[in-house]
Amino acid sequence: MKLLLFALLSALCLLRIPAVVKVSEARASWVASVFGLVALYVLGTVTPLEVIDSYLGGVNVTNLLQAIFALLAIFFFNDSVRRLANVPIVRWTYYAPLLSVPIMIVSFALIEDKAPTAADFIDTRMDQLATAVYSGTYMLALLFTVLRTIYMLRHKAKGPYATFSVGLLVVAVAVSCHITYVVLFLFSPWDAFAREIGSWFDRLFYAGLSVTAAGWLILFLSKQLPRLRLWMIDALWLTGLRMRVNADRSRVSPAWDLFNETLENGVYKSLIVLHNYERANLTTFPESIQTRIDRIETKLDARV
Amino acid sequence: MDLPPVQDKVRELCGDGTTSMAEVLERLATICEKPIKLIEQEGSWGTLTAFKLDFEDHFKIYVPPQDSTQYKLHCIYHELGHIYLESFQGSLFLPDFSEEMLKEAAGAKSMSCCSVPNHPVERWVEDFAFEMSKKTRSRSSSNPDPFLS
Repeated sequence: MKLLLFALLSALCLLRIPAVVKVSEARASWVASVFGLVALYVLGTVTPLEVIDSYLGGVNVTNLLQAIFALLAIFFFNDSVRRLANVPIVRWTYYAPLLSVPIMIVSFALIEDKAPTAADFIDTRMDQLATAVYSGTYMLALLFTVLRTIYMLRHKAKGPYATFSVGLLVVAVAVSCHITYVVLFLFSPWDAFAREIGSWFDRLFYAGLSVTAAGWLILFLSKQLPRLRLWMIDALWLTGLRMRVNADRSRVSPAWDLFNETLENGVYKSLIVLHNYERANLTTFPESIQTRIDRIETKLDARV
Repeated sequence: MDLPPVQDKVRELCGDGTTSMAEVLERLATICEKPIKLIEQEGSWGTLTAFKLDFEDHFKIYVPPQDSTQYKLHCIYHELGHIYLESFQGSLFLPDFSEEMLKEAAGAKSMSCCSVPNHPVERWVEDFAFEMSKKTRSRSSSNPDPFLS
């Protein structure tokens, strides 16, 4: 499940780079996926946990980093949803989840016998109050952010957007399981029952996040693929033509336009540059090329 | 030469939303306090793409009729960029003709010119034309980030 999530987030990070370059508002959701990737990496998904943790002193600092990165990922995802839902940042509660980070750092530092590196670092030290505070604070901040995101999505939760809400609901259930585990373990004699509830966290948490990331990817592809199909080949062909005939002063310009502009704007710009080239050199392209340019232009005209 | 950012000036002229050529012509005519006439002119254009003439009581922009719609619109926006730029930057004699030069040209049978290629003013008005084309086409091209659209 972690590997699937890692693959989905990697695909999202790569596919969304052009949008991030062009639109500043797109950056929050991209940053969220980057933090998600880093959190999964620190968890030992790619490099063994023991290897990463050994560089950090071998005292499970990876666990703290994973918690902080996951929290930041959810926080920035929440920020993209806020933009999507046009919710202004007015209340102090917006940054409240980030206040949990210093509390987590301090409580983590207070945990005794942190070595050796272990995936079940929390479970084996749950008898310490510092561990309960560390883990409980992390989970409460996550639950708060996730519930707020679900609330902001309430009017948008249709079609592909519904997968966000479904995924986040599963995450909220997972986090609630962990909080229940912490509370029962600390304040009740039913340790085994508490552990049983706590054991659901991992499965539900990563399943929920995978559903959310899959929804993100489906949404991206469903909106981008028709646009790519319509313009990608034309954009590449026109860029190639600009380079071949040296239509620009700089050899970098055609590639930069392809990367920096939307596909449609890139196609438009290439057409203008090629017309300028023809005019400045008092030349016309061979008929086959001219026919193709005309066809692209007709397609663009239809969209004005 | 210190020229203002194109995007700021385009936003000042048309706001944040979409626009049309007719709206831009109307706004510029208000700013310059004289109408702008667009004329398709047959004949040999050589390397010229379009040109504007500034009269006492109006502007005229000439474009060749045979060009594609996209290119024609672009060339008109290019010339409108010159008009707009001069409305807040004052007369820019490069690469335009100064009044004295025009007087010299009066009565001539033909005229040829050589302007500075890649002049900042030309780059500014070309960027203006690109920005304006985006604003007239943005009804169909949506946000590149699907999560925000």
